[in-house]
Amino acid sequence: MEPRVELYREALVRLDRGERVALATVVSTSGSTPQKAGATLLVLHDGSMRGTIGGGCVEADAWAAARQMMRSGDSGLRTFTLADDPDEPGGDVCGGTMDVMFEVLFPDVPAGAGPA
Amino acid sequence: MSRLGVGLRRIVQLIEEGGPFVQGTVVASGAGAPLPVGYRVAWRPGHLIEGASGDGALDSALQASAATALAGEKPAESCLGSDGISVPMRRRSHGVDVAPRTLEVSWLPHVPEERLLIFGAGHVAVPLCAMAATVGYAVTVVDDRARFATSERFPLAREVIVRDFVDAIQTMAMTPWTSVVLVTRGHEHDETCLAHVVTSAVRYVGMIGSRRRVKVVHDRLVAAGVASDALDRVHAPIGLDLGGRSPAEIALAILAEIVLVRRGGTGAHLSRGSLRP
Repeated sequence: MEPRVELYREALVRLDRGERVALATVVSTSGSTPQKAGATLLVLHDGSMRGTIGGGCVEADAWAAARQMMRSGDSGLRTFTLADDPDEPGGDVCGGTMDVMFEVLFPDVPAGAGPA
Repeated sequence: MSRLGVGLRRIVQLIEEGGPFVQGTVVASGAGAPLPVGYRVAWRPGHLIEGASGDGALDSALQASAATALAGEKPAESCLGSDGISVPMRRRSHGVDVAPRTLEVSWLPHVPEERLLIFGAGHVAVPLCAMAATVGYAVTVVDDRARFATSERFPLAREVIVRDFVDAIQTMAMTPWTSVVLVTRGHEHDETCLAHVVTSAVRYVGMIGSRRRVKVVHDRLVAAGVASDALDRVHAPIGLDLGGRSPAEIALAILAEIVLVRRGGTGAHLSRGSLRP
């Protein structure tokens, strides 16, 4: 079973609990990137994460973007440029760009409103 | 169906059904475009697009893009203008905004698990099963001899079936995500299996045997009324010419051919004889 469906199931569980979630999906990449199109990250209501879109700096930036969008309620695309920093041993040596789609999903029924 | 098209719950359901299908998400929407960012559609071959916009030209363009993405078996994007016509993608890293009345859609295809059906549980089947499972195939091994078709001999097989070949083959789904290898102990079994598989939708069918024995089988099947061009699809003698001799080397040559057919490679050396890229 592909991991993405696990993330979707987790998202549905959280939505059923009345929590807001954000799905971040890599839609395209250019150059060298740690993950390719289709990689998915789920950011939960409490800020914890499931899955990965590459780790390191890009994931920290993606997490921050997801948190901001969960507050504003907007979905949309962000482009991340991966720093190619030769001075940082063991750091990101990718240097590519990733277009990531953020989808903020809202529960059907507000928390505390009882079963649908 | 919500304001944002197909819900995530339906996507999960479609994934659980095993596909093939493709999910599409609007990732950018220019001013005045008919669908909002985050709008989701899904498409299965032979069905109408789910989450249709109601605009005929757009829906057929979405469906065509979905079909292309599914055929490519990897994530893809399309950019659709107001009249449903495909337009070039903008270069996002250059900070260009999406054009008015234009939609950018990201497609994620879900294709069924690749299956390998091995008929015959002999000395080539053992390494073939192990290698194919490692490469990611769900392997089924069939033989009518209980002492050969055992899970001890095929620990990585998804399924080991002791059954008459023809009885077994009639219960199996032959899809474009199925590959079939015929390595039974006798050519009469290979021939009866081949007669069942050769006109099906399988991606790959290969049969072991020398050129001479393969020709005998070919001629007998043509005489029995099987179309000659259907038989042209059969990979026999089986495998790529790796020069291998041992059962494991032959299994490797077979698996290499299966991967080549699936991925569309050439089987040639990547190198050009010296250390030049």
